[in-house]
Amino acid sequence: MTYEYPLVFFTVLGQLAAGIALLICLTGLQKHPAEERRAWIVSLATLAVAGVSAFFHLQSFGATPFALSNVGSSWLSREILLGAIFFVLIALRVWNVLKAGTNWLVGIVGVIFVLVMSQIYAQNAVAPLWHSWGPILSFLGTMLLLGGTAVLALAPDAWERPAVVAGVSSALVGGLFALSMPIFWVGGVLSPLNPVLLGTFATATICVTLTQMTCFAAGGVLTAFGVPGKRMLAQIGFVIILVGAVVGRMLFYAANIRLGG
Amino acid sequence: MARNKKGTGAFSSERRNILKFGALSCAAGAAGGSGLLGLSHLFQPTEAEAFDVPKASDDPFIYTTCVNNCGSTCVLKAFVRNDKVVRIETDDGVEDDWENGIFQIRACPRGRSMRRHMYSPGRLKTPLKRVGKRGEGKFEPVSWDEALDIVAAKLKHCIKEYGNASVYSHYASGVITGPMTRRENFWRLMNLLGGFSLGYSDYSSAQNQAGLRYLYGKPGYSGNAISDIVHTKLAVFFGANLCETRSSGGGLQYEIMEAKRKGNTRIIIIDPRYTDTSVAVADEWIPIRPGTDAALASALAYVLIKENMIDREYLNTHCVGFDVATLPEGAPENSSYSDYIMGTGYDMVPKTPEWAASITGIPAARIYGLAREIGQAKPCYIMQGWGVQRQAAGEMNVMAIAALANLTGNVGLRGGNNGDLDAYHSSKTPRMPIGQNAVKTRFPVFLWLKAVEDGKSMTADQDGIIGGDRYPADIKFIWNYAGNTLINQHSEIAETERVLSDESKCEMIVVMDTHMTSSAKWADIVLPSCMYPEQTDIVGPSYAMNTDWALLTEAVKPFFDSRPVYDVCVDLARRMGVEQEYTEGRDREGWIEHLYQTGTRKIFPEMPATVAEARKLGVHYRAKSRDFPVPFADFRQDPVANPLKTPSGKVELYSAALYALSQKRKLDSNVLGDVIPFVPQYVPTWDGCEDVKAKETYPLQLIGFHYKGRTHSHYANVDWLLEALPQMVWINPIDAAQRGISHNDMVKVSNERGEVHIRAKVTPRIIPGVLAMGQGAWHRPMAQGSKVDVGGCINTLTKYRPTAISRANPMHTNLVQVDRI
Amino acid sequence: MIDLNQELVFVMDSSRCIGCKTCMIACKDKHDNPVGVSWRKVLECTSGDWAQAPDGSYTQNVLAYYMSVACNHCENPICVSVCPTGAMQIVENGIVAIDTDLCVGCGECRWNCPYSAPVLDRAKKHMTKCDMCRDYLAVGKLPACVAACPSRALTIAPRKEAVAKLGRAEAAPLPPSGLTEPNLCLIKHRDSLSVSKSAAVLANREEF
Repeated sequence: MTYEYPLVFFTVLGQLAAGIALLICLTGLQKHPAEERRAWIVSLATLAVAGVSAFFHLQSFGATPFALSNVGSSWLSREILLGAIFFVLIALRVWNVLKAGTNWLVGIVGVIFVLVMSQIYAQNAVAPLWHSWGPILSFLGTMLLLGGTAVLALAPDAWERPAVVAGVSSALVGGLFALSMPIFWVGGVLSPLNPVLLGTFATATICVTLTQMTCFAAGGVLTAFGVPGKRMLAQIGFVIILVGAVVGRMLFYAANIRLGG
Repeated sequence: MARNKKGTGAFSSERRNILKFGALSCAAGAAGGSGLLGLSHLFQPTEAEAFDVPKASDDPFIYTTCVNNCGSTCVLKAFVRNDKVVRIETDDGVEDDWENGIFQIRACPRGRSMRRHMYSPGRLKTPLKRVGKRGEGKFEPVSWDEALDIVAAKLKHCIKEYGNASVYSHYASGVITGPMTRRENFWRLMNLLGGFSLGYSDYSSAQNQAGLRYLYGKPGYSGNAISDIVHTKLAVFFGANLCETRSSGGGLQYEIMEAKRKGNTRIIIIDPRYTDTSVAVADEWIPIRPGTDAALASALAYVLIKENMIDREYLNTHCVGFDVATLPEGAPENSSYSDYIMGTGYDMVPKTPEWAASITGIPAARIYGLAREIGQAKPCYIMQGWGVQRQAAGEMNVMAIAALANLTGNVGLRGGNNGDLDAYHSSKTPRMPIGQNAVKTRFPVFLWLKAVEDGKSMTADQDGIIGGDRYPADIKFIWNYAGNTLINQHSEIAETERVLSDESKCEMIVVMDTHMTSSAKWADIVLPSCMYPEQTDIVGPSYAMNTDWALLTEAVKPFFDSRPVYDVCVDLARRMGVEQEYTEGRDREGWIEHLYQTGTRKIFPEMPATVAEARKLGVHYRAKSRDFPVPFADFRQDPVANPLKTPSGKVELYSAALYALSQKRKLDSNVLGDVIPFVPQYVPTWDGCEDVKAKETYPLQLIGFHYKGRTHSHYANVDWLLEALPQMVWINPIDAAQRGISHNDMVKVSNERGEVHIRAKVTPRIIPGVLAMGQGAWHRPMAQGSKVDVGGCINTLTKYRPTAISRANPMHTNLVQVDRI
Repeated sequence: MIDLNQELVFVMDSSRCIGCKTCMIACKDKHDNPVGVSWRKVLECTSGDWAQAPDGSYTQNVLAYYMSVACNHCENPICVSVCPTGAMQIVENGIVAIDTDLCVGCGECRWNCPYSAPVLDRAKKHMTKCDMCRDYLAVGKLPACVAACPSRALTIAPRKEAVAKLGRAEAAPLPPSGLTEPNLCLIKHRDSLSVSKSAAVLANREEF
């Protein structure tokens, strides 16, 4: 099993950045410029780390300038393009070149970035595990879950505002829903696999799922205690949830079980 | 962008600029709004100019060979750059024409890995002298002069003090073809010095040779050629894994593939494993428990006799001992073959298919059916491999299978067979003349270790000594050239180590080899040998081929200080004072010229007049029909005029010689199966499937097999081969599930002799209750002297207990347990 | 011998394959590939169950066969369309090859190839794969694997004719041929199983 750590961090952090951008719009954070600015900075920094992490996935950098050559047919080219655009848009917001009125645009580009990212994995060769709604749901779910909890960690006092309650709640509900959906078809997807392979994979799945659920539960509890103004608790809760997302993503890459060996 | 392209010259700066421009314009276009979800094929990939075809390297090549003991010789073309082999190709000198016996002698993965083998990290560079305890593997490099001075001094000492019979040239098969590379180089030297000790028979087919000598008066190598299956509709193989063991593209693997297609022959293979031969050519696989072939053969005989499908006339005129009518005088009562089969013999048990079913694991109904198939096919090609005989009472398996060929009258017929493996019909390659060995007394080769420990106690009656009643010496000096039987390929490694570690017993072990093998670790002096591509020679088909061809090989520069065995023997001869007699005034090239003129050109008069011209020619092939002379055809036609070389001149289903041996030899009645029967029969043995007591602790049978990633232990350290063909133990999913073992898990296979750590191949391709491990992996003890082997060598687990009849190796008779680690 | 300067297919006669892996070693030797980089793979397909009778005898329905597969130089090479830099290209005679100077080693091609044909060479820092020995073809020599096959199971043939006659390879343990339209023709083994069993019967993942 290979875990593709650079991509684990790239995808999870990329989705976190997109989640923050989206939640800024959904929670109307622009009415509190200090909080908003902090959120944009965190989003930008997260995306930067994600981008650096992605570079570790590459073997050589000489030809990276050509990485957009195939944007007509390669989802990877498109992902790089969307990532770059998204990064530039956030940066423009951080330095206030773009005004708050364009927040919706940045949020939507972030969502598109995550959708494009998921298309890289919707491929026949790793059927049946990747070639399904799994990648889209898990990427969007991660985006919503991390975005929602990140906003709480960044602004635990904002919980009293109805817009924040609505935005964060719907993000968390939507995120958990999207993340749990694959459970309903994973059995059918796995059944044609070689029992030996399945055995190893099933063991890993159970371990990882339990770890992930524990992280989510613990993080959720801490966050819940943290939101009435205890910033530290909310932040620790967020980090634990982030760890859960990373662990889950490791399994996602380990599930690269190929048809022909 | 900085680019540094070497060699191929595929890139021009113009093209680079086009690419850059293409990338930029594309990126601009994409930023303009394309590349959204679901539009994956809106744009086609950028139209890049095809990069140039890389230029094939133009290194020159030499013809060389792979001639280890797989029974085939293969042709290699070694491409050479800066005195090193950089690439290997194989024979492409002819178009395949199987029916006329000319086809490409394509190497198998072993030969193709030659380059990696030659330059692998374990390759010996200089002579070595032991500095630690024997077997510890501690050596210091010494010069060739120092090493050979030590060897010569010890040789003189041993000859003087203990006699020539104390100098033993150990069984070794790393080089099978090529007069200048084979083991005769040392034999020639020793014969000039008054002779030396040599075992007889081998580890491959000792029991086959013995059993068939009793039956037919000919020690094995006596069957119809495999291509004869063209002339029959049914071939039944007991074992015989030609596609793995003889996998050369110029050998039997290719022949059986073509012959089956041409003859549309139904092939049934009886084997504990679903071998690659079964995969490729079997119409039916009948799995059987190891060591029970004689039980199956007896049950088949029962049905053949009961349903009157036997050739009674043939049995009366060509055989003795089928029933009372042909039982010789002096035979005990009710001791005929049919008495044993029908239940009127010594044990009063009829050998019914129902009796055999519980022993062999084959359903009784299938045995009835198989007997009828065999009985009704005229002719029927019944054949056995050598795996059936590497058992605790393997001679009986050999004879019982061959008996079937006699019952059905298939001996000496085109398309039939006498039950043995192919007799082989290949052109002869010359060998170095060895002169006469003054030491006439010889022991069964498997008993060499006993000859080290207590050679003088070995007698003709007890130990099968030939050429004398008693062995005249203990072995004090071992010369081991191109072989790994000193440790790795001999049974029960812990026992071998015990005897060899006593430096007062064997005083000098010289190992000359190419790599630091597990045997070389036990040497006192290690001499680095050239490999085949590093020495010139004459080669041709090995023993298990049916073609005629010859090749004069060329050489690349030897690896570091490695040297050819001939040159080393000349240096030893000088030190022993027989250089002139040894060389006869010839140098290496002189010998090759001499052997070419007196040997090769006698067989191939059409070949060029000189060695130099022959080398230019490459492989010389000669056409030959695939219908070979049928062994025993003359005997079949007229058994009186053409008697066999048995005492009676006939096929001895009852063997008076075995009866006599059974009266002379003292056997251990506590050992299950230590008996000498005199008609072919099933013998339950120690560590066999019926050894109930031992099975309480060690419930699984373990067999070895010839693995396609190695020839015996040769090539065992090549990383490319280990990657593609990893050493694993085969286990049926039923046995694996009981022990919680999953495919590719690390397991320990153990018995009281030792323990092997190895990965499990969980596969239904092996009968339940049986494990199989490719033989020949290099023994790697976990620590010095440890009985735990992490190298996967089966001889960690085998038993050094010679068989009752031929004192041969029973390496597939083992009981073990297996657990997850 | 056929004209090698034309579009070709690999023809795999599974009924002749003895699983010896000479093709893999010949390929490694020709291209000087290290351990861990195998462009050609010999897949082992095994299936079967055992049942024991009260008398200790067994019945079974075991089958096994081998298939040697490398890059199939597909009609619809997904590796070419997913490659972000355009390193993966269709070159002369329909061969799919990697322009290694353009490759960043992202591995997209391997992920998307249903045959997992492209392999990362960590030392060379780019993806590598079978190029049908285009250097050999250009000088009239057979690809190394084809010239090596001791059982004459692996051959090459003119593309159009062979595909018309034999179709594109479709049997376990291969993926469905419709994904990429491989230029691989298969002569099936007598026990060949359908592609629907592909994931279940591949028996030797540890060997490549």
